[in-house]
Amino acid sequence: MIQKKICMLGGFAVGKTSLVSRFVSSIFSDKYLTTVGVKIDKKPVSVDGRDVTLMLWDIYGQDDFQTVQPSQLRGMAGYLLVVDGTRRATLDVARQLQARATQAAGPVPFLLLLNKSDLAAEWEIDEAAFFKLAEDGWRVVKTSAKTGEGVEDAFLALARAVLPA
Amino acid sequence: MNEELLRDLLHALDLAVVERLPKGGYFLHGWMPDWLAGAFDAAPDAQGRLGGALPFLDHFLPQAQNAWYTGPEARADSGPFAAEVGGEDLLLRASAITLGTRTMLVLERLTGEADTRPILQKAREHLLDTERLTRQIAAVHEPTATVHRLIGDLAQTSLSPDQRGIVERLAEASGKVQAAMAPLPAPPLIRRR
Repeated sequence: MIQKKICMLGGFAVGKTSLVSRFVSSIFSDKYLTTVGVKIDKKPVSVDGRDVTLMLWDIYGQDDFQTVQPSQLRGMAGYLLVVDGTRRATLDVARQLQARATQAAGPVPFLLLLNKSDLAAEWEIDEAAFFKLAEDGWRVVKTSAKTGEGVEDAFLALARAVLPA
Repeated sequence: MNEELLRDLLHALDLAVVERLPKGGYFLHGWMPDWLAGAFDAAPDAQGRLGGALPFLDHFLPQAQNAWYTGPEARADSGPFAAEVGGEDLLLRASAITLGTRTMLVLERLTGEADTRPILQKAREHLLDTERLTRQIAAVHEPTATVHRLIGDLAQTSLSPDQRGIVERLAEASGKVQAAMAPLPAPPLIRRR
């Protein structure tokens, strides 16, 4: 069985752990529990008739207290950059992490997830920012770990991107 | 140190010590802590395999091997990692050290002060509260500035003496609000017309 390391990267409280829980176990909790260290979950998936086990590295959020280490990113096949649509500053953190990821692992596939689409009325990230990201060549998906919107599609899209042609 | 003393010491410290054998495979010294039971394939006094039970260790082992091959002074620490063992969420740390010619892996469950989750939880909750407060301030900044400006505009119009008195009191109160808001950081989201 092919295994691929996929890292979840983003600022704190953007929903990385919730996205993994939604994708792996179809569960969601409103309660915020901070992640310390790294947690690895496995999810076997089938993409275009090929079986692959995604090793999902849920890495603690980047902030003043903890910095994502290059050693944690090495060997990853791809990553999901997660942004909280209701907090614009998390987009700046995502840009920093994207640069660090490229430095550590090279130009591997990634998707930017604009999470918390269920709170669209409170979003600080507007369409202009969305289009700018697309112009920069970033693939952006709106997701909600709460409702499940876009979650499976995002993970499967990344799985497809990391599998050899 | 004899085996019994070692076992008692490891038990008291709640550590698991695994030795990497020269021909491959791993040997668990001493005892199997309760929190780790079920994570490994083997019984405490038999050769065991590490792979699969704690996926993070598969990632850490190359770093550990680098440290072991470097020499007796070298050490590698994994940093905290979470694992679900026996239905329980554990926060663990692994350290690779060399004792003489023997290559060892020490597994520690982080509890008490070593478990930084409660502190980081509080700190991040405070940060989220601060962010929410900043957004609320941003929502108030522009309307209050607009009100202050409108009061100034009103004061320029013809008013009866009673009306002028009211406007002057409004201007004074609004000025105090502006002065109180001034030191608060203006978030970059405010769009100035």
